[in-house]
Amino acid sequence: MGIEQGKISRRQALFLVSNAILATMVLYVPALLAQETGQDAWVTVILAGAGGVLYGAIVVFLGARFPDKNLVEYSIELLGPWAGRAVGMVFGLFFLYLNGVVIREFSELLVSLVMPETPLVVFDILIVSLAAYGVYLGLEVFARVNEILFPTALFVGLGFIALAIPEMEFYHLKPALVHSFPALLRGSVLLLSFYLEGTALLMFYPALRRPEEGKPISYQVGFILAIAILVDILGVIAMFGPEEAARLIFPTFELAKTVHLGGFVERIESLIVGIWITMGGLKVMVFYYVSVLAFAESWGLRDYRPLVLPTGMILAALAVLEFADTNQIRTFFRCVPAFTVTVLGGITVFLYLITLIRAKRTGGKTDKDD
Amino acid sequence: MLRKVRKPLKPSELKMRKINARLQELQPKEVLERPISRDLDYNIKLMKDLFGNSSDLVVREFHFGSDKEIRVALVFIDGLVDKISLSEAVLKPLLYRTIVDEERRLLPGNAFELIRDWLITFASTKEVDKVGDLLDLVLAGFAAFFVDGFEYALAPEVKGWKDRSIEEPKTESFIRGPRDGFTETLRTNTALIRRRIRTPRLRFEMYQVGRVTKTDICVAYVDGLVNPATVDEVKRRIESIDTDSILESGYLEDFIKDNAWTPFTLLDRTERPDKVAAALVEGRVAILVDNTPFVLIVPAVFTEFLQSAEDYYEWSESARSLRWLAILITLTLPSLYVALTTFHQEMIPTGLALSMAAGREGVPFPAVMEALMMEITFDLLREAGTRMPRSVGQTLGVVGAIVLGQAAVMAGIVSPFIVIVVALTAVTSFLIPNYSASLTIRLLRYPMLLLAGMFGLVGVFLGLMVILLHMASLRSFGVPYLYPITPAVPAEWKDVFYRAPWWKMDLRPLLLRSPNRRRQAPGQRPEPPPVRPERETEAVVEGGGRKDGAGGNRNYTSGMENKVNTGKGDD
Repeated sequence: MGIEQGKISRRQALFLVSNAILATMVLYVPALLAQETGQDAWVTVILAGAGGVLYGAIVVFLGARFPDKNLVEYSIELLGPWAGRAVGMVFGLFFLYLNGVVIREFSELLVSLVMPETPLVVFDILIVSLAAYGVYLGLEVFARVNEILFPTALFVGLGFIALAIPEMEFYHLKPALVHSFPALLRGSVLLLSFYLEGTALLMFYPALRRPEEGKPISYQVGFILAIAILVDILGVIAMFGPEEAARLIFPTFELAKTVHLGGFVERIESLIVGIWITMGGLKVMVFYYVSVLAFAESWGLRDYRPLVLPTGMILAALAVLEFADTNQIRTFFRCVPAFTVTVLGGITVFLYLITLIRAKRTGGKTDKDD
Repeated sequence: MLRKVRKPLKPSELKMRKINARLQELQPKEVLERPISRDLDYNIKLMKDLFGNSSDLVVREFHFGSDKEIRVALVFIDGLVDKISLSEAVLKPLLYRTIVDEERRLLPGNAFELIRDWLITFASTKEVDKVGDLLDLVLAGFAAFFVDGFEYALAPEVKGWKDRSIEEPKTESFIRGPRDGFTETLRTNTALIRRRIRTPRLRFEMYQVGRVTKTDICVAYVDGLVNPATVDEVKRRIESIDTDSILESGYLEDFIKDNAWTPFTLLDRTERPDKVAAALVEGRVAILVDNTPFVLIVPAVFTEFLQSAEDYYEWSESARSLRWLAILITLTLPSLYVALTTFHQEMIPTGLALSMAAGREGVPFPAVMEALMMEITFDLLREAGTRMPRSVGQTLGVVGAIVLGQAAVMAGIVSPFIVIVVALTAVTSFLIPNYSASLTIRLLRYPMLLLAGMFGLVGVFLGLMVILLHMASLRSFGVPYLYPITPAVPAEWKDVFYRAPWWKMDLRPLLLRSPNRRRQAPGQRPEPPPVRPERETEAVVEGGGRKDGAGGNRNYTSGMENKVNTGKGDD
């Protein structure tokens, strides 16, 4: 008996997870990877993609094992009321914190690139209000909106990169495979840490109309993300070269700036802001939803909606207070893999192992066997 | 000491009780429950008392029979009955024929039966014994026929009043398509639908709503094509209405829509019987209200408001996409103008930016004020245009176009560009076929303008997101409002962004959950006849223009006993 009564289709879940991961990945990853691995970034995409699909398999295994329960509900079932609730709270708090980072990133982007004279907190509050409205309306609603906006945004984004091709210099991609394996591995762990955000799926997996058919989500997400990020990174590096790309704060945005068409359509990078508002807004919505739902489940509430407003206030404040400036965000992204992998990866793998042990103890069959 | 305490009523419940106590019938129940008396004078007095000497109540008393020993009275409402048929079918036979035949002579003892069975030559006649039922009939245009000494009354249906003839609908005019429109008479309207759908499974179920007006409301659907749950839901919502009056379908709309507070219209309404017939065959429910030509169609989704029934008669692939463009322009063009001129000048091509700057040079207001002023002016003009007498329409056009447009620019109050923007918005907003939807979109321009004035493009996109989220949260009788865009059903987009030819649209819409989804045989794509060189003439005659002959049609059996082939349009 979950809180969420709405039902979503598999495609909606797939797009939600993909959007939730991709929205910030596209912003920061090209620069970070260019710094780490230069023109060999595509190798890390493959490595991280493999890791991501593996992790995704664990996630959907958990989801399919408990098709009518979300992560907090079955951690309570597996670990008992106290430890289970603690795990739920940690899960919710983690997404709350990460969401603050995401909101900060988007506000930062809007301030530094579009409206430099507006204070950051304005955009911060705007994004949080938008997300709060979406979360208040419920999973079903923002999953549906995401279902049309994510493909549109992806299409427009790829269109931008395609339009920038005439400006690209593909010799920047050579020589291939000059970076050391540890560097590549570091890069792929960084990328993988973004993939781990897909754990959010476990909070709305039971809302799937047919949970038993949810397994392909893992590799479909991996595929969509790998293609999108690969095109993005290759485009950025071919455009600016690895050194320049590493110095830029928002290389994808800089890429969009170079687009011009027929001598008439120029400087249309503000349009790409539109894409980020939609993608970013939806990403914030998903994380926001996951954290309020996790809190509500942990405290045994009947509805998560009373938590939307207070959580929104905390989020808006958190986004301002977390960092002093953009440099700190970049520094944070150096350690974010450790943070994400230990907390999110830790919780998921832990629950996975417990489920396996339980299954073995009851002779390969749990009470909730499929 | 433990004592069982009665749970106190919640304030809201208490309030409801008080309100219900005050809500009483206009007509005391005990009068309506009363049986019709044997005493003719009493009956006449009762009717006169009930109507309080209203001038349109006609009571005619007369005697007939061979010795004029039978007293009868005729009561009807002047203006609601057809007097010619009343005198032809009711009065004449009574006054002229005193003897039915040899065995049956008209006597006070058997008058009622004889009149009922032999004399009144009217097709539909009812027999009632309660005052209340009789009142309802009289008020609906029946005549009441009392016979002294009998506790029954006869009510021949002699309805007939002045009504508008069937004309072309004023609000939805077509180049190609049927020209008949609904009228204010419910029966005429049902007939217009029945003529288009010749199956006994087309059902018209009547309800009466309104404590005072007692308005007839008719729920129409095609049994076997409609999802029974939808019909039940419609009935449930109509039955739960408790109000004094329903004067137009708009009253009903407010009571039965899913989401009370939304600027969007959640029900489709039309004056065109062809549109209603198409909706019924698709598996929707139509709600007809007496005294209005506007019929409601449920469930309705947003994409429908961009479809005109004419799209299905005169095929034009660009019309739909033009309308989508129009809706986008109406919603965003003014706010984009404001956002670009205020915050993102760099996005405007240099040459254009220079001339825009020159145009705005003497304008004392910020762009957002300028846009708001002009948009409000336009809305004022439009509102004035709809309300004003037709003869002064031209004056308004002159005032609007020259005085407000030209002069405002020359006086330097607004820039010429905003006039173009407003004019374009005005034109595009009328491209949306559904008037209510067009009003909604135009209303939403204002918050969009304010957002653009404050936050530039960020505000515009934010506003669009909020609108989208709101629309995605709406439902019309359980069907998501943005269906089939989202929840995405790509197979049905062929009727959303353009209009696929009829032979492609094999299935009824998915989310209407019709028990009979297939509407026509598949594979009816027309093809030129196969060329057979040796017997060319025969091939043309026999080929029938279809690859498999008419095989697809022949093998196909519809779930309905009466096949409704929309693929062919009306016969």
